[in-house]
Amino acid sequence: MDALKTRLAEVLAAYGADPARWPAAERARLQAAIQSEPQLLAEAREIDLVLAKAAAPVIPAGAASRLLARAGQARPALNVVPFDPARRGQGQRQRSIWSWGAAAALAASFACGIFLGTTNFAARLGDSEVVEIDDPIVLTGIDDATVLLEGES
Amino acid sequence: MFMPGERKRPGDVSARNTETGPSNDPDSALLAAVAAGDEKAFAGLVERHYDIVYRVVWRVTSGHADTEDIVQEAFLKLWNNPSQLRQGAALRGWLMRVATNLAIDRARRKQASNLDDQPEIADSGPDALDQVLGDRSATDINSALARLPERQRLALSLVYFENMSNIEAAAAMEISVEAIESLLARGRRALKADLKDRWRDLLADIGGMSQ
Repeated sequence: MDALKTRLAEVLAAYGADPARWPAAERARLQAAIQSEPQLLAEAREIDLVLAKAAAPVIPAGAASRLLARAGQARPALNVVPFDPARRGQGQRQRSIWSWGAAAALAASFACGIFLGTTNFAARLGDSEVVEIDDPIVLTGIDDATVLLEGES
Repeated sequence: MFMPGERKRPGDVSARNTETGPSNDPDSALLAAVAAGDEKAFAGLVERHYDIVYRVVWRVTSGHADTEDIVQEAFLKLWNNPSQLRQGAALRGWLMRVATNLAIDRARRKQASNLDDQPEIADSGPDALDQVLGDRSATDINSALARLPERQRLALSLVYFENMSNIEAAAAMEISVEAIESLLARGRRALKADLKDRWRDLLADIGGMSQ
């Protein structure tokens, strides 16, 4: 019961005397106990009355229209391009040309790869080429590097 | 849903503090259309949310004349970058958060530059005139509200004046429900303490003496 009274005091202090403003889940439980706290209820009601007497704002005439006019002058930059049916076919034709070109290049590279693989072309080329090793950095650590670089005399 | 021109008053009993937020999400479709640059959809969002955002900013700024400009800036942030928000259910809280942050930033900048320290009551027609000339009680209460810390004033504005649920208000302020309760309780207590010298007179004027 003390917990209920404590909670009722908290709710009256925060939300006032009108149960309509109280948290819905607690309303029924607290309303049952409200008669046990007439002083707290009266104090909360006084503050409610004073708040109700506060002046209320009046929305200036035309305020929303002025906002909309200002918004019309500051349209957001959109990332959306309006749909144009006339451009649709053109775009498709451009895409088809490019896609045929890409397919041809892929087919050519595929054929070239098969040729090189089946004819052992790279190995034959390697036999006929002389690889020159004359970089001192590459030769570092080889015992006869000096001989290799300067040549046998 | 809050229709344009409709004014919720604290005494309204139609709004209820529920544990859940709004069950429907009518703003999602409008948000998606705004993301595609649809001005009509943006106008729809403005129609749905302008008034409540204006009222909250007006209370946070204590009726400063900058209120309309701040509200415009908040909505334009959405218009210029709509993709930052996808859930329609979160829109109202987002707008309030952005608008009140803008208001607080402006107030702090002005305080720092020592320019225009005093709140300037926005020209809001006959009510403003009544406020200045005719109703001292309302003026005193508004002045006391203006002296509350910003976050207490915002919490009171959302829950008390706009009848938002504690969960909606907590989401709008990006704090816990417990923190909202604490802000509300401290705000109400501070208001009474600020007005303690006039408290009995105020209640007599209002007709709400409890004893």
